[in-house]
Amino acid sequence: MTDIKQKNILETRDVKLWYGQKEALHGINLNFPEKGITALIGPSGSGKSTYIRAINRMHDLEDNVTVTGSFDFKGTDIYAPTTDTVDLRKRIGMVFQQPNPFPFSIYENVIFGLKLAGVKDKAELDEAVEKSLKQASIWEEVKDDLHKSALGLSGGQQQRVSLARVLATAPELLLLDEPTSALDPVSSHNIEETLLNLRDDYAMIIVTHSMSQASRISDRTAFFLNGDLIEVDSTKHIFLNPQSQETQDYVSGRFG
Amino acid sequence: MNAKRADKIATGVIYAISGIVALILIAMLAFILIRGVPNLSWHFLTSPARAFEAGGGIGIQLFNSFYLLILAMIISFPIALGAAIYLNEYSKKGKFTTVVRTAIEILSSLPSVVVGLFGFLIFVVQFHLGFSILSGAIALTFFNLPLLTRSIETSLAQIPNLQREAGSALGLSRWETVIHIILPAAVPSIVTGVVLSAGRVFGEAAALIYTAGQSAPALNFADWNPFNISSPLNPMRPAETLAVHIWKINSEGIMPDANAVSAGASAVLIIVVLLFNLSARKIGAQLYKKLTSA
Repeated sequence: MTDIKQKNILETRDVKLWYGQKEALHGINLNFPEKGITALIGPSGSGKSTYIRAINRMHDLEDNVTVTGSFDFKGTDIYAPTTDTVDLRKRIGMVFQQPNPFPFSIYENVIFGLKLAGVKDKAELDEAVEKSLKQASIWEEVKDDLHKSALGLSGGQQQRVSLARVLATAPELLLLDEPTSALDPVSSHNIEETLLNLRDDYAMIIVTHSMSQASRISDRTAFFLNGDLIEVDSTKHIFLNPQSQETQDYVSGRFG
Repeated sequence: MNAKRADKIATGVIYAISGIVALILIAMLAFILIRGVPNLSWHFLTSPARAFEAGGGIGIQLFNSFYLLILAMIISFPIALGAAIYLNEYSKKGKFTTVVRTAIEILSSLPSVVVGLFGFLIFVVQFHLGFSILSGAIALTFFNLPLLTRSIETSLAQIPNLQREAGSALGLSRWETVIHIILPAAVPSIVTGVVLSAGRVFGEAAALIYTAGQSAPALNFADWNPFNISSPLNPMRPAETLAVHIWKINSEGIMPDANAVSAGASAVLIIVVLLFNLSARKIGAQLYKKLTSA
């Protein structure tokens, strides 16, 4: 693990978040290196999904959520009033728990972001579709059906198309909010393989309930509990030699 | 009595009640169709009505009904669409939203004859539009707007939030999400709603009696200049519709074959409404298939 020497793509400081009057995050300090996978683990309600959704300002869609603290994304202050969320979310892509392809063809799904950005050249779009679908490891399965509805695919395939759709817009950071928890084991495995292949090119943050998944694919692991960040370290350290008793209890399956 | 027996009885009663509902509809349809269909002929469907002698048709009324329907839809659809998008995609809990929602609810429960009389006083009298297709179309818009708004809002609400999240996570603004994702995904069910409401509007009489009027002046179907008074397209001419015609024949018709004309017109009305209803879901389902799988 060389992540200590890497530059950080995202530095968050003293992140607090309220749902109405209820404080759900109690001051999180967490940095993410430019490449590699960081896993956020913790029991339900520990704040890991809440935290990851704060990074691309998904909470803006809800009423009654307040976020404070600093989010430095390569020099961009994510919560500055001048920051354009539309532009921000192009740079920080997100894959959700439920596969959510649009009710269009696979091709249309993948080029969606590019088309909105004004790309019209057919050759360029074709190339982007092939490249993104290959990156998401689904090209071989769908290359003959690109113009069929994405809704006709299996859940695991839909999730990889959703991933390809995000990759097509070339984000700098990828947020994955439990991307495999709605999928069967084989599909989950495919997604994990895909993420491992992308590890050298992207910075990724993955929220996961599966500790074995965290240990298989992540370089670093952060353990959340009750809205606090308990510990963050290389995945090996967290699982084999954690500093805190709570982390030890959680990764050894004593609660959660 | 044991649970199994009670269950059997309950099942039987529920079946019987559902059967009665279906039976009422079937009986009504059968009554209207059996009485009316024998009177139908090409001549009946295309020739103008006659006030004093037998052998009149419903051609002009039929045309008027469709023309009014189309005009009313052209006016009400954009407004309903806008209101529905606001309510489902933009509105936050607050006073303004509550006012809009309450207004729509009250509007939808207004008796259509009240809407008609209001249209008469405001548009026919106050704005000097006279008994005209335009007055009628506006009255129909008032009648149709709340129902259509609600049906479009339901269509939009059926699109899962996942799609909105996916849109904004891809960097789409709220408006872009609505235009590029939500609306295309909702088109089939919106179309179903529009066609269903068309069926309701087509059969409406009370709102039109005092707005579009009860007379059907002769039309020249060779003249499509909407500014000529005898042109079918002229929106300022009075236009008795099929539903109003049926009401009028039965209250003051003096032609010798009034009963036959009324029965035939009723059959046509019910057939058109049935066609709207039956085709609504089919069109929606087919659109969905077409839009989702290229």
